[in-house]
Amino acid sequence: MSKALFREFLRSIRRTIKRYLAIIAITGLGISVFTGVRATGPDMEATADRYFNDNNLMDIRVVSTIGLAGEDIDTILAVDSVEAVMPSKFVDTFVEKDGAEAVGVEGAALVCRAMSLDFGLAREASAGADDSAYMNRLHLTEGRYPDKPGECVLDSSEINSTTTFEIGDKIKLKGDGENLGSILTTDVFTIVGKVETPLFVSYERGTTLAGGGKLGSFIYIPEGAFKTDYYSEVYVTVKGADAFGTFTREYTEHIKGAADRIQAVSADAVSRRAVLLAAEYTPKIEQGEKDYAAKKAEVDAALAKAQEKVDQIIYYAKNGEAELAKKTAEGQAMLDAARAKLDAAKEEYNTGLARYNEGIVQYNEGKAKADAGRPQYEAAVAQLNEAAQDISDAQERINRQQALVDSAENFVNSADEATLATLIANLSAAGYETSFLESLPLSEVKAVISASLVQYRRVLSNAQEKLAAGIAEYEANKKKVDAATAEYERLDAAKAELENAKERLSQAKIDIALGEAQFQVKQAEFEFKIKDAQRDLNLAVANADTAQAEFDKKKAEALAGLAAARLDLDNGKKLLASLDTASWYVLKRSDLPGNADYSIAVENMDAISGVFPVFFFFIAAAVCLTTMTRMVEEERLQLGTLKALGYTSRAIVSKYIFYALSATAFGAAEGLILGFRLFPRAIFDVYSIIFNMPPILLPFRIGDAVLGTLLISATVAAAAFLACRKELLTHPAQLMRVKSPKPGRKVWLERIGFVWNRMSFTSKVTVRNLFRDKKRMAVTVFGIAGCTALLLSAFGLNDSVGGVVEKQFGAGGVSLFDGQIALSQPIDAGIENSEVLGLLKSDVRIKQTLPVFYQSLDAGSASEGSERMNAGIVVPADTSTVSAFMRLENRKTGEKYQLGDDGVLVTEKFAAKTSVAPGGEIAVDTPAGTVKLKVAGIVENYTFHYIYISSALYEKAFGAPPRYNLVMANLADSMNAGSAADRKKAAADLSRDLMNMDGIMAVTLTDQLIESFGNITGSLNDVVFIFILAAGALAFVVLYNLNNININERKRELATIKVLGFYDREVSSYIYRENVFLTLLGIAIGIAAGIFLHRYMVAVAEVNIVMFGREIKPLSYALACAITLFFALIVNLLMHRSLKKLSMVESLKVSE
Amino acid sequence: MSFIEFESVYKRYKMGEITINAADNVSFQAEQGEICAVVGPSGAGKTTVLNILGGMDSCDDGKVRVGGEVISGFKRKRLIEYRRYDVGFIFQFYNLIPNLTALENVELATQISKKSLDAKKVLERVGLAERLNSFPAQLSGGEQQRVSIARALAKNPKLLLCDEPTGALDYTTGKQILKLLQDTSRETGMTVLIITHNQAITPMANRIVSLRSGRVFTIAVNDRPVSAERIEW
Ligand SMILES: Nc1ncnc2c1ncn2[C@@H]1O[C@H](COP(=O)(O)OP(=O)(O)OP(=O)(O)O)[C@@H](O)[C@H]1O
Ligand SMILES: [Mg+2]
Repeated sequence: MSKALFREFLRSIRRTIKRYLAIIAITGLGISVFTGVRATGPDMEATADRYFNDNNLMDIRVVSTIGLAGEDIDTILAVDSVEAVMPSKFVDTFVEKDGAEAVGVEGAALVCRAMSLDFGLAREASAGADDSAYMNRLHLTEGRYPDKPGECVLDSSEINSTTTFEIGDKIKLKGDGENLGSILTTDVFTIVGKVETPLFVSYERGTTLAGGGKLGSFIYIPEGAFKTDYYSEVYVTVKGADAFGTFTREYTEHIKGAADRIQAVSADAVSRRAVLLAAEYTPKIEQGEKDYAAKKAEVDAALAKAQEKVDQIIYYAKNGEAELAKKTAEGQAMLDAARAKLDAAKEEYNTGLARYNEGIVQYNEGKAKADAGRPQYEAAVAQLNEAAQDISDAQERINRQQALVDSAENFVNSADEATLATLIANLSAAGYETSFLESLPLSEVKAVISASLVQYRRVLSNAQEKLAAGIAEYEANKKKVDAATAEYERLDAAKAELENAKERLSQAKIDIALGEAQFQVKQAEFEFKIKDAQRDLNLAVANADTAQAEFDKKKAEALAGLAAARLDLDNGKKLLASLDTASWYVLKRSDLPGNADYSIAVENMDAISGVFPVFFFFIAAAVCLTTMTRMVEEERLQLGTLKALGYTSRAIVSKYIFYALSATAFGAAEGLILGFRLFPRAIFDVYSIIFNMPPILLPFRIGDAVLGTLLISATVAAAAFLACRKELLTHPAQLMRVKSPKPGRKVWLERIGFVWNRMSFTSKVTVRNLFRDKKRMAVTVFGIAGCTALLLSAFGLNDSVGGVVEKQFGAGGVSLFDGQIALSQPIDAGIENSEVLGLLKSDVRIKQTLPVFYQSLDAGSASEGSERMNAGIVVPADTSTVSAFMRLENRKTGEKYQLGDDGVLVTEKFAAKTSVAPGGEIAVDTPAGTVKLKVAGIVENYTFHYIYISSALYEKAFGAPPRYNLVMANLADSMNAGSAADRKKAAADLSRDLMNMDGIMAVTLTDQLIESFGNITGSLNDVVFIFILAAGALAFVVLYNLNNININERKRELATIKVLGFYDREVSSYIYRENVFLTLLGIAIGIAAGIFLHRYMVAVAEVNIVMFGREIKPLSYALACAITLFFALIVNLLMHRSLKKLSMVESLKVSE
Repeated sequence: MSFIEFESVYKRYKMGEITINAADNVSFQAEQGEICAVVGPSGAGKTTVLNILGGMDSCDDGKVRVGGEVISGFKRKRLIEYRRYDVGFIFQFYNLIPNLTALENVELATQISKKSLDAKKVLERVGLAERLNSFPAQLSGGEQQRVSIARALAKNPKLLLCDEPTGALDYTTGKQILKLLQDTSRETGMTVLIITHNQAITPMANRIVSLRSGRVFTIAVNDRPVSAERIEW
């Protein structure tokens, strides 16, 4: 390429940058979906393969119903092609954390498998050792490995458990129908780490005989924690198995050989062990029963005695309480009385004190008054005393006067000497002068005296009068003084009385204080006494309780010991009973929980990869192709110019081829970089909701990369080449001419006058425009149709896949039964006599049962060399009730079949795969030989293959009566009542109860099945969502590109109508109308194409044992249309903007 | 006030470092009903001026008045309306919609105009009564240009803008076209602006604006325009 041409090349890229980018984007999308989606399945497979190989996942797992002894292990190791063995012990238990039972997500008790492991191996492996005897290698996600008994590592996924466990938690294991004491050295373990194991790639942990039948978690414990001397299972690796991919047919066949050989040696090994066990257990159990009886009697007696003692203590504790209550009441009453008395004394004291205070006041008043009158009083007393003296003096004088008068009278009368003497004495006494009388004669004297007598008498009467007055006054005064004296005396008395009262009061006060103190002491004493008594009592009660608790504990221990002994005996008996039917189960990787699901996921991906990405890729390639062709056609002027300038055709062609190649190369590079990372990772991310795997490996897959890139580059380059050649073949002069637009022509619609004439002018224009360029129309319709078809098929796939579960198990589905119960012993003795069946029937939760013989065998068409596939032989015991358990109908004709004796019914997919038709024959391989059976009909079915045979026909064909080993059950209506959680709980309870019945091995409830199926198909739905996104993106880019081409091609026309004065919206609608029509047409065609694509995709994507639904739901149609319309709308909006920006001046330049 | 007024109009194109003045201080007037010829060498800015006048392009500076309204200041919507109702365009290469018949091409314009004329009648007037249902590809260049003129006239615009209407036509056909334009202007009093390289055409114009490298070189007023039939070149 010359320099000028190269520059022209760069310029044409710049000029058509939108188109160039569109080619890059579409190529990128096409390649990324093509390579990415197709790589996903292989990537997932490679990831699993690497994971399994790196961790030395077992190829075969042998489980024996009676355990495996050392010799058995040796036997297996000696089997041809066995590389290594790893025996392991396990026990399935319930788990307690902090005394509470751990609960699973179903609401039933969590069942945990405790498995033994030699942690020395694990530690060495961590250090880099690669010991082939260490299988299913653990990966520590947290913590460390156990290094002493009593430690464990726990399942790192706790998705099945509602109880959470942390490192450092202590968990206690509890056996279900098993005596852990005789299996483990301890039942308490400390979690020291969390691990992942390749044994479980999903959240499924498998089945168990314990609890509700589903394992929820596992722990690994040191081998030393097991007491048992036999192993529960042995893991086996097969020589050369690593060389095959784990999901390949080669691997399966390789393993099948080894498995068959192990199965072959099992019969001898089992009977060898059975004999030993019989010899060991028969006497052991006999002796054990005796010991048990003795021990039980002993325990019962001891317990009775202990109980008596405890009862006594309890009685005492109870009476003590009543007594204390009485004592307390009495003491309180006494205290109350004392209190009352004390209060009365206080009251009295208070009134006395008040009275005393009042007396004091009165006294003080009186005293004050008395004290004031005291001087007067004393004067009066003195006066009175004087007056009394005066009175007595006056009396004396009166007496003497009287004596004088008397003696004078006497003398006068007698006139004698004697009388005279008396007289004289009296006279002198009276103070009279007598001396003269002595000298006078008597007579004279007599005369004088007689004369003086009158005077004497007068003096006397005067004195007497005076005295009388004096006495009267005295008397009055004396009376007054006496009153005053009495007052004084009263005051003194009052004072004494007050003093007295005071004395009494103070005494009373002391008494009261004393009383109070005494009362306090008494009360304290009382309280102390009661408290003391209470404490004693509490102590007694507490003792009684601990005594009870202690007794209960001892009792429980004793009984548990007995129960454990009983369990051991019963289990021993069961073991003995099962020796006849003992066998080894030889299981493969595909039997590991979740493993088959993963392989189904891979298969699904592979199957879809064959259709969707390929179709997607072709649409992308086709769009690129047309884009390129249109581009060359548009640039014919340049082509002509270049040619006229003397460039060779080859040089010109090389420019366009280079354009095509560079765009597709960029696109491919981008697509490969994205595709190989984006799609596998995104899809794997979706699956990682259910699968637990290391990060996905993303190898570059050169094959698809080269194929895709070559295909698209070659297509687009070829398109460029062919288009150039076509243009260059014409004469350059013609090329140089102004691009002659396609001539207008009448369209056929115009010939239908009554339609055409009725159309509006604008619709006519639209119709003309549409039909003018049929190629453009075709390309647009093709693009839109392709995207709609992709979308519809993606949504439809979603419906088909999602519908499987519903159609198989849902209401109105094919399998009508609510549950399947696997029996540990087939019902041989006749259905009427079956104990298990009787038990099941007596459970009110079970409405109806149907015993069935089920066996999975290889079958195929009876013709020579036909392919065999696994199918389930189903022989119902009773043909009359079959219709309540399964719908045996032909999907296409709707014919209902009755299971007859002249032929078998086979399921639809089986019939299709083996191409047998009613009337034809199938062959079933049994260990005894091949059995041929006539086909009477083909029944609708979605998962797995079944061959339904009547019991009579079975017996005739197989030469033995069917041994019913499965019971189909319909549940009572009550089981379907209540909320979802209630139903779940009821189902979990039923499962557990059934599992606890004798003779029942496994219980599968349909609801649980639906849920686990739903998980897988649900994630496929999410994967489909990724496709939908991709298809949507493609729809968008394609529409955008086509519109861009359209506008580019019609710039001139659009500019013209703009010049004419069309409004922006009129300009847009000029194109919209065409787009809307093309989009609708494209959608219509796309729907039709989508239906076919979907049908094809479903047919291809179907996994062998699953038949997908064939219908697409109305919603999917709606969504596919809506998404296409949505993208069309966005593209049209973008277009509106670019139309608005379209420059009239530029577009109309002549040189265009 | 004149019907068309250009007042110091500038149109610049920046091409990297250099700036091209496609219109450089262009000022001129034209009266209503006049035929105005715009002449000048290639690249003189004739088309630029016409486009600005027709509302297809904007100017960077200056004012353009048409019938008293400043169209250079119109908003987008108003500008579309101006093109829709007031302006008719005729291009050198006709720009007909190829997949519409002659009649439909005209109808495309009358559809959107309020005071439009009857499409058929206009086509009759341009002498295409017989070719109503022909597609552009089935018509000769002159016929196509007549359809294009009919499309412009049918809108009954005030202003007819023709960018080298005869450029792609032979002598006689060109003359017919020019006559049609002249007649229309005379009969309807429509203002017609004709761009041409051909100096020989100028005698039929009332006014001749001559441009050179974006500038108005001369403006000549022709008081006696000759009939188109009499022009020779
Ligand atoms: N989009 C554009 N970008 C750059 N320059 C432009 C653009 N359009 C026009 N020009 C320049 O503007 C000038 C005037 O161009 P215009 O088309 O008006 O000339 P004209 O007189 O019509 O010429 P002709 O007779 O050849 O048609 C020219 O020099 C041209 O190169
Ligand atoms: Mg020009």
